[in-house]
Amino acid sequence: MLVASALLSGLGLGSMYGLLALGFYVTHAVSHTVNFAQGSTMMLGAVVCFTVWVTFGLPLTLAVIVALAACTVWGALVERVAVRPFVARGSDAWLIATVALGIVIDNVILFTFGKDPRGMPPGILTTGSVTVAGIKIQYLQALIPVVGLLLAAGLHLSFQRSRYGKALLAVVQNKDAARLMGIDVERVIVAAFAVSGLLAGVAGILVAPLFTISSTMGTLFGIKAFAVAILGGIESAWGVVLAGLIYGVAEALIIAVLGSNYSQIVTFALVILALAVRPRGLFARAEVKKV
Amino acid sequence: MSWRALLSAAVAVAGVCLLIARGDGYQCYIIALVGLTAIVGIGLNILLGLSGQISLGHVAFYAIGAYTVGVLTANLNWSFWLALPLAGVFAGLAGIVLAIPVLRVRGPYLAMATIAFGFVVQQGAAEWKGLTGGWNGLMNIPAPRLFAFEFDVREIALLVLGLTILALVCFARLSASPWGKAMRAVRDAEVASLSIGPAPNAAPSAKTREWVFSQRSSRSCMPRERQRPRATGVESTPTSRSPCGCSTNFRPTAFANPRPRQSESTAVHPVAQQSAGFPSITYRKGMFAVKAMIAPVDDRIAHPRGIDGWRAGLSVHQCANQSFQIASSPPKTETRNVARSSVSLARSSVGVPRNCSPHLSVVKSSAVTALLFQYKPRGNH
Repeated sequence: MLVASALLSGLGLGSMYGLLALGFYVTHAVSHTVNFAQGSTMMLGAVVCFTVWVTFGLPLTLAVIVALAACTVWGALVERVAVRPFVARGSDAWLIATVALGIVIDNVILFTFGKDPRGMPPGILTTGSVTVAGIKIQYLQALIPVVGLLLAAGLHLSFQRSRYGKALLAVVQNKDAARLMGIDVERVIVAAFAVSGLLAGVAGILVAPLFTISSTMGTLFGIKAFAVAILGGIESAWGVVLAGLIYGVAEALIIAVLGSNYSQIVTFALVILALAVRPRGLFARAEVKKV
Repeated sequence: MSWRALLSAAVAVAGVCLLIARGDGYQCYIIALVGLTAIVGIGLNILLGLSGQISLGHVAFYAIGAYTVGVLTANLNWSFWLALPLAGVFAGLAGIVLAIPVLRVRGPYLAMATIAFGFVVQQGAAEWKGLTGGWNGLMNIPAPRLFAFEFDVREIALLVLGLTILALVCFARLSASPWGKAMRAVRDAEVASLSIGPAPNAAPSAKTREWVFSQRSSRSCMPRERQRPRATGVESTPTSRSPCGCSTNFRPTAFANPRPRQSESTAVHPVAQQSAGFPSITYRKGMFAVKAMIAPVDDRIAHPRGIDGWRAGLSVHQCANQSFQIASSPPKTETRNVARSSVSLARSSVGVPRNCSPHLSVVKSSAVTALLFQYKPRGNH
């Protein structure tokens, strides 16, 4: 019973980790850079959605659209401001620059949104529930993994089928050759960061009703998502999503068995252990190293 | 170090001393904080700057050191002067423990492993309430005493200044030592530096990485002689032709071996050995190649990023002079010239025709490596 509900919430959280981690995967694939402040982007999505919906009293659909647009623009902005100038000069400082930009947006939200954590008002998704085999399942809990997997599948399909997706795959394979073929590599990279921001926004909006909304809600989430991306081997989309589900379930089980005090110690120790056993992620193939 | 650098360093130290002497408590506190951050940064630089290993959980070692001093002085009434070096030792031991699992990963995977370590230490400190006081932390840590004299914030700032200078000097010594060179070789081209090792199983490069991990946070001890490679007893095989067509003894182990992990046992330490005067010409070529790779990357890390940029031209210039003995007309201004000349030197040493020039807008270490492995040497060695 306890385990079953832990599994359920673990699947939900895990697919959110998977979504955020997909954002890491997309940008890493095209540019070998990531937005380390992915958690802040997620927080931005939740905060904007809350502000437009609750504070301004506008319809929820509009709020979601505005929040997702804000996250997408923010993702592209991060690439322009914190990643490109450093990559262009062959520096690794984008790593710290994205972290810094994340801290900046965290504090901007802290000043404008306020210190107090707030909860999303109850809606049909959180109040309504179905009971399956004696376990009460909120609609939202059922919805989160579905949306997560659908988005992952949609991303996969659009990579394989659409023109832009193919350009992106070309850049992944060989940046120089793609450039010679007339693909605007810089634009593809910006697009990848925008998609990464969009995914973070979706995760933020979906997660917001489960937790409270505050300027610091994203930090730990972002780090866990990076752990998931790394465990999934950051080079395969399905590996990343699967690793997200595994991480979420493992974390929920640890909390159910050991209590929440030790959950972070144990999960992060497990991350180190998993990396020690499988240095290129859980689902990695043999390493090819070019000299 | 030139007299000019010494002079400016002395002026800077005197200036800081003056600031500490004249400043109020808060200013001294800020100066001390700057110094402490600098010490942590210097430790991190051994790992990131010299060895190219990313660590995002570095602050965990800071925490381990701080808790060691706190617990020893507040709970056990030890002397601060005994606790201070012990803190370094404990942080170093933690580095060794961390190195055992994270030796196996690199790049973003290493970054994640170190983040996870930082979290484990943070949460561990928060949950181990009996020892660390949980989220409240340790209180009433006594100020350091020297005989009957109790240190105030001003004296602590002076102490931090002294430790910062010590850390800087130790870092400079380490960086110039054979071990520093070995670390840079690992940073620039791990596989290449593995593959030039003439003596398998002599000193694993994994050892170097481990050593770096354990070394980075103990600030005062710099055991330069420890694990120093043997000066003799290494047989080179200059005549054996390797599959990639080089008659230099670039060993193809890293390529032939499907599991690069195993070839880690062929060592990076030959780089360290060049100071011991190893005779083989072919071996020196390997050294040369590694140095050629070091110089441009020095330029790369020093210049576009950060405060160090303004003196990058000077330092790279010096480095090139020492490494290659470019006696005639050393390039004066541009660091890129140095990089270019080092590549051309590397090229001429392995006999690459002049007309096949790599794209030199950004000189990459990998470009040099590719050159070295791609072309046959001209002479018969």
